[in-house]
Amino acid sequence: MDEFLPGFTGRLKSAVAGAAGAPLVFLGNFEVEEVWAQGEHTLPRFSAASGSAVVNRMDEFALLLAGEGDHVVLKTAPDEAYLAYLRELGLALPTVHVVAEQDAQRNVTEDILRDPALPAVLTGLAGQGCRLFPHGVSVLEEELCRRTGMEIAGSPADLCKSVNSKIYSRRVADELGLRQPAGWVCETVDELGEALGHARKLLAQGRRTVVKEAFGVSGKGIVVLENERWMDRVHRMVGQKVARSGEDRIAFTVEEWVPHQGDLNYQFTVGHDGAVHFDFVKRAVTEGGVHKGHRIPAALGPSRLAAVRSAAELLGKRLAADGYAGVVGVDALLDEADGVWPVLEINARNNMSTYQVRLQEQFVGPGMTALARHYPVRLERELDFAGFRRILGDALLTAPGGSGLLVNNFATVNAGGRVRPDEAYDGRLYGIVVAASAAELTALDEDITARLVAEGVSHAR
Amino acid sequence: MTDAAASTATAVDRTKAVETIASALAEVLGHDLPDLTEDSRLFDQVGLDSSGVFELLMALEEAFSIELDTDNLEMSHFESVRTLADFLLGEMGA
Repeated sequence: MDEFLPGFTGRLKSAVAGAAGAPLVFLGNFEVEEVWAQGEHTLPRFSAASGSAVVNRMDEFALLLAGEGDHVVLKTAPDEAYLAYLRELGLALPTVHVVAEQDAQRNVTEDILRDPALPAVLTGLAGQGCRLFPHGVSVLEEELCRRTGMEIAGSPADLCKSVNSKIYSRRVADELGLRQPAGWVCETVDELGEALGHARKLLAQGRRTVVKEAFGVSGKGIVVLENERWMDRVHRMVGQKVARSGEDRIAFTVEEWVPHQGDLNYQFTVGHDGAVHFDFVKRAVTEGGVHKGHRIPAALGPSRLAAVRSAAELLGKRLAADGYAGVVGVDALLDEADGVWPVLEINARNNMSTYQVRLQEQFVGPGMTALARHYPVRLERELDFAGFRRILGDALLTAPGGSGLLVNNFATVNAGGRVRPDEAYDGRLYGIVVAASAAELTALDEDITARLVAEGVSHAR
Repeated sequence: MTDAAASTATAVDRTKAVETIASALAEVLGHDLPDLTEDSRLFDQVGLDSSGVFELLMALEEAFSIELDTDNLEMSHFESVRTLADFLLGEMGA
């Protein structure tokens, strides 16, 4: 096992709010990076409106990180049958507050800031000692705190943004002597030109490089520099933006795209007292080159696990020295031997995995194995949780100690339906498949997919 | 050039633009798109994702031997094959 310790929520609260029982108001403002990136020069980037609608409904993950005595603000009320299912699992749920009017293209914080009544409710909760614990802290959550008198359980927005920058990650890894791919930070167009010069040399040796927006969403804002024409084009594109805006400062990194066996994501928590606690490491599962989910446990060998834990300790102390307190997620790679690239990217916010921990503690016991993933769905019309429960049948896990699918977000299933009400839409059914063995896990995963396809609510793995 | 001739020239350019977009999309996505129409929506229906946008732009610039002003790009231009064709033709002064 990867030394997974129970009691995460209490540890988290102690770290960010000073006491294991401190009441928190949770906000699932996923893709907070979009707010951090405002005002930065970026490469062209566009995405579907329905995709943003689904991302914004990832707010419902917060239900399963919060517990009794906590509060969660959501964009819409959860499906009643889904709430009943969570209670049936024996989960203590927080008090749920819902915004009066949600906009699919806004995140939950933006909805609250426009709400006529919720800020006053939060002011009341602040008076009772509640603190705000968002997915990530941006200027929007700080604005909410200013308006409600609530304190942030975590770090200030400017520090979170700075720590989350891929430039910070490269500099800190160098400073700490942590192994990382060859790369260069670019804060001016000239530095970008020099970095691309290095990239050309690597390309001539048959090695690949990428350019990354320092404030891009994890996995986005990255361009693989396939040839010299693309490198020239990136340079001119960014140069043009700088010339037109008069803002000379840019924030990109250029680095080698190293061959690797797999992706890791690990998490640690930094307390206001500087204490660092390693929470977990998870291994990404890919199928046909496409990210499918995370395997629990990661089943790393001792040397790789030691390298990850050591990096977490070093990074945690370094972040604490900069005044950071809160959850930290790090993306890492398994190299082609028995080692790791322990830090590719530092995320100064919660991770998808953060919201799985409570379920993991209660439903993935010793000797059990699990796969956290989402099942893509395509729906002609809204399908409620009761409908999905009928489709999933006995593949749905309904009690501790068993095998099956634990659904840990249902809002993302129908979120896209509101963008184009008369058309079929894509959604995601997030869950954790729990099994007693790897073979059972594979069979369950295939069974769930087959059920969704057979009922016409999915067409893909 | 007569109005009729100008109209024909525009129509041909538009047809070529749409064909080139189809070819570039197939290149980026790695598979043919037999059902593609001008109304096909690039993200929802065709399957383009945010990481494919840069690659699509590079493929289109190469195919048309142009360099787009990326500061003029807006989300609405990537709505569908039609809106992308409109944008490209506008940029090329067709």
